[in-house]
Amino acid sequence: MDWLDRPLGPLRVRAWGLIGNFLANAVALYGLARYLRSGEGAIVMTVGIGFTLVFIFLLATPSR
Amino acid sequence: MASRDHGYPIADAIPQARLDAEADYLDSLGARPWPSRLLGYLRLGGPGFMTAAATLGAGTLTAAMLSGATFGYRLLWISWFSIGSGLFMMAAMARFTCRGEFRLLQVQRERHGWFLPRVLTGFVGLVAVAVVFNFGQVALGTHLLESLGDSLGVPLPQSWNWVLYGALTAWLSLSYGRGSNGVRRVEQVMKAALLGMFFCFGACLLVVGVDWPAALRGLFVPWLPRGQAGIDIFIASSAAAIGVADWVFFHYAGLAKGWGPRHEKLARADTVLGLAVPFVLVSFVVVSLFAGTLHGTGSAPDSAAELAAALAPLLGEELATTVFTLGFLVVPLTSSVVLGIICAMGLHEVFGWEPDVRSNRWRACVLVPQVALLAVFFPSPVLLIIVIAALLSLTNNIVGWSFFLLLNDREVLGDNRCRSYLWNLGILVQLTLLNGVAILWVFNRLGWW
Repeated sequence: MDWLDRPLGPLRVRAWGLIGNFLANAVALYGLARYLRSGEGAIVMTVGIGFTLVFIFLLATPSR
Repeated sequence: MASRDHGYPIADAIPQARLDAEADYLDSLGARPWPSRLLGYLRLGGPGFMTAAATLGAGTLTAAMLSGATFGYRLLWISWFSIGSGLFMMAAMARFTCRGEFRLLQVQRERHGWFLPRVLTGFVGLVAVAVVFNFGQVALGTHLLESLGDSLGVPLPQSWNWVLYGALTAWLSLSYGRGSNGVRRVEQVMKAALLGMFFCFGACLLVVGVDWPAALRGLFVPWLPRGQAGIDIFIASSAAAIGVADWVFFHYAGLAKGWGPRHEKLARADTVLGLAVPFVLVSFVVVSLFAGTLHGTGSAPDSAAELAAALAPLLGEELATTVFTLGFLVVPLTSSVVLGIICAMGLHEVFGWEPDVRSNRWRACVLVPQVALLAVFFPSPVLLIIVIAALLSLTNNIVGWSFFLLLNDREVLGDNRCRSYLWNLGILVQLTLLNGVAILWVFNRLGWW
C-alpha cells in the first residue's frame, strides 16, 4: 500500500482519498435527504455509503 | 523547509530534574497494581482535565439539559459515543506532543502551507472560538452569580458582579505557566473544579433520584428520534464533543508540561481519565437530573439560565437549588479560564510569536476573550456567533484531515508515525462525522435538508 503515500499531482494519494471520502459522504447524505423527503434516493444513498466504506477502509492502512 | 522549534518555551520553567524524576516514576508505575497506577496517572495528568473544563461549557451543558428535559434518559449513550470516537484524534495529539515534541501549527505550516495552520486552525479554530464562545460563558456565569447571591442573601447583581467574574477568570488564566509550578497549579484548580461540579450535580441527583432501568437503557441501547431530527442530533452531538480547540489545546498543554517520549502513556491515560471520564460523568448526572424532573412536564425552555430556573422549584429543597447553582457556576468559570489560555496560545502560533507568560504580549492575548464581559450590558453578538459556528462546522473536518495526514507522514514522525490500522480507522470515523456536519450545513442552506 505504498502508493497511498505517493504524490499524485499537487497532493498525495491519501489526501485525494480524504477528498473522495468527503464527496462520498455528500452523496450518501444527499440520497438520505431525498429518501426521507420522498422515499426516493435509496440507490444514491447506498452508492454513497458504499464508497464511504471503501474510502475509510482503504485510508486506514498505515504507511509502510 | 522552515525551521522547527523543539519543545515549548512555557515548559522551560520546569526543572529538567523534575521532568526526569516524573518519567522515572511513570516507568515504575507499569509494574504497580492498577489502583496505584490509576492514582499516579490522575496525579500527574492535567491537559486532559483542562480540556474537559473547556469542553464542559455553557453550550455542552445546555445541550445535556435539553436532552434530558426533551428525551429523558434515551440519549445518554451519545455522550460516551461522542467522546469515545474523539479519543482516537486525542491519541494522535498525544503522539505529536510526546514523540514529535514539535509545535503542531509549525509542522502544519511546513507540510500543508500557511492557510491551514494560520487561518483554519489558529484563527478560526482557536482564537475566534475562544473569543466568541466566551460570550455565552460570561452571560451564564454572571447570571448564576446573581442567582447564587439571591439564594445566599448576598446581593450580587449582574451590573457589577462581572468585575468579580472577570477578575477571577483573568487571574487564573494569567497564572498559567508562571513559575515552575504555574501549569500544575492551574491544572489542580481545574481538577478540583471538575470534582466540585460533579459532586454538586450529583448531590442534586440524590435528591431527585435516578430511574436506573431507564438510565441504563439510555446509556447502552442507542436510540434516536425518527427521521431527520434524529440524524441531526446524532451527527451534531457526536461530532461536537471534541473539536479543533480541544485537539490543539491538549497538544500545547502537554508541551507546556514538558512531556516527552516517556510521557506518552500518561498522555493517553490523561485523555481518558482527565477528559472522557469527567465528560461522561457530568453529562450523565446533568441529563439524569433533567430527565427526572423536567422531562414529560411539557416545559422545556431553551436557554441554560431558563432551564436552571425551571429546575429550581422541582429540586425541592432550597439547599439543593443553591448547590445546583454553585455547581453550574463552575461550568462557565472554568471554561472562561481555559479559553483565555487557548486564545493566547492561538494568537502566538498564528503570528509566530514566542510565548513568554511574563510578557505584556502574552498577558494581552490571554485577556482578549474578556471582551465578552460586554455580554453583561449588551445582547450576545448572535450574528458573529452564527458566523463562527458556521465557519467551524465547515472547517473542523479539513483541519482534522490535515492532522490525520501528519500522523501518517513518514517525514514528520519517522518511525513514530501511526502503525495501527484501528487507530487510523477510529480517526476516519470521527472525520466522517465531521464531514457530515459540514455537508449538512451546506445542504441546510440549499434547502436540501
